[in-house]
Amino acid sequence: MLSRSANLTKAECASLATSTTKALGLAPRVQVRTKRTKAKASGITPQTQRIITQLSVMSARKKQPRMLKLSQEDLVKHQTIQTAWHTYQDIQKHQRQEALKLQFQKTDAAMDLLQRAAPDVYRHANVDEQGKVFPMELRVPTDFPPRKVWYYDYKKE
Amino acid sequence: MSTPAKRVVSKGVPIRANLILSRIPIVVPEETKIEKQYRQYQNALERRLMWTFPAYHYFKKGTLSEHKFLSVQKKPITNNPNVWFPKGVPDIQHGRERSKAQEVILPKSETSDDSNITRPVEKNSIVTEADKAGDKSSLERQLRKTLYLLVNYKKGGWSFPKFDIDESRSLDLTAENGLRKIGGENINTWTVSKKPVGAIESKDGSLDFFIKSHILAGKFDIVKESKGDIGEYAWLTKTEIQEKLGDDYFSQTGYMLTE
Repeated sequence: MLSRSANLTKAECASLATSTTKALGLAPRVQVRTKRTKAKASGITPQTQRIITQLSVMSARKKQPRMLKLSQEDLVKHQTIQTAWHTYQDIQKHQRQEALKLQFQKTDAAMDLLQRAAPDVYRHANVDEQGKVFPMELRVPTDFPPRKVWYYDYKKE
Repeated sequence: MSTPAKRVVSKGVPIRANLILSRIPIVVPEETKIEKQYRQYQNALERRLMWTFPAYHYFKKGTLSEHKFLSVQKKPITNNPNVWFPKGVPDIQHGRERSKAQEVILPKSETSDDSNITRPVEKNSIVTEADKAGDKSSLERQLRKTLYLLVNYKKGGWSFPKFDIDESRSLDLTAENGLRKIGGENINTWTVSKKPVGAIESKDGSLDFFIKSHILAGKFDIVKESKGDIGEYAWLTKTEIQEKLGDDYFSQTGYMLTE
């Protein structure tokens, strides 16, 4: 039977198949291509292959760049840049702290003056405001303005 | 710090609550030269030390999208044993030269519909219409700077809005309610603190206390009843305030303001 089938043409094969299924009382076979679930020649199933790909995304293998090797001159350059940046940061920090210190002193002096001038008002002002938070409506500055820059149509509730 | 000699303040002196109402910047301040250079340097370092982009994870092998992506990538120079490479032999892994920063180019779509994420980002202009027109009563001017509300009193000239206090009320309530009386109810503000940020003792004995507040939404517009006292108002930056108020007054209030 096998040796004979090798010599048959396609059309002959098909007619033979239908006649066989009819003779055995079976429904004709329909060829449907579905998702591949069996391993290919490599021996890895598609599921395993997917996991391998996903893991390799996270792994450092083959994806890490070469280590930076700086010459003496480049190293000095890098250190100079870093020092300049930290100096700049220090100056800014110092300025900010000085401004804050001055503001604290002025608030302190104003409260002293208020205590002497209007003790009742001072009592209203001198309350603990710990836990006060910024409102949700306060917008954080961004790199570029929004389409509607200011909300003018606010109505009092 | 307190005043060196504790002078007694005479009873019945006029005390006023001034409101420093500010609109905080909408756009971040401009980068200085050193900030820009340092950011670019760090960015270049970060790109150089970045891992290779795993394109095989995002584009399935043999698909059209993979082909589109790969066709626009620049190919690195491959190693050839017969060639001398003065800057080191090419070391390529996953299509990336390991000794250099990887440049990932996103393919552009042929169609011009808006669904494509790689369309160029349109940035809104930082210089607004109000800046061009020189409209100082607009809140949409000088987006990089903090703006402060100044009003022009017909009697006293330009100053921060000020209100006579009532002994039974706190300074911040006096200031906030006073603001709504002269500028209308449709304004949303947030008072920074109940405590004054500064005080000025005038020669005539009157005291001015300053309360800080931020405007969040709404519009300050002088109501009809106040038009007799107040001529106009303006939202000004610190430098503009210095020009308007004069150095003498500014020296006593300048520390409360930021750029």
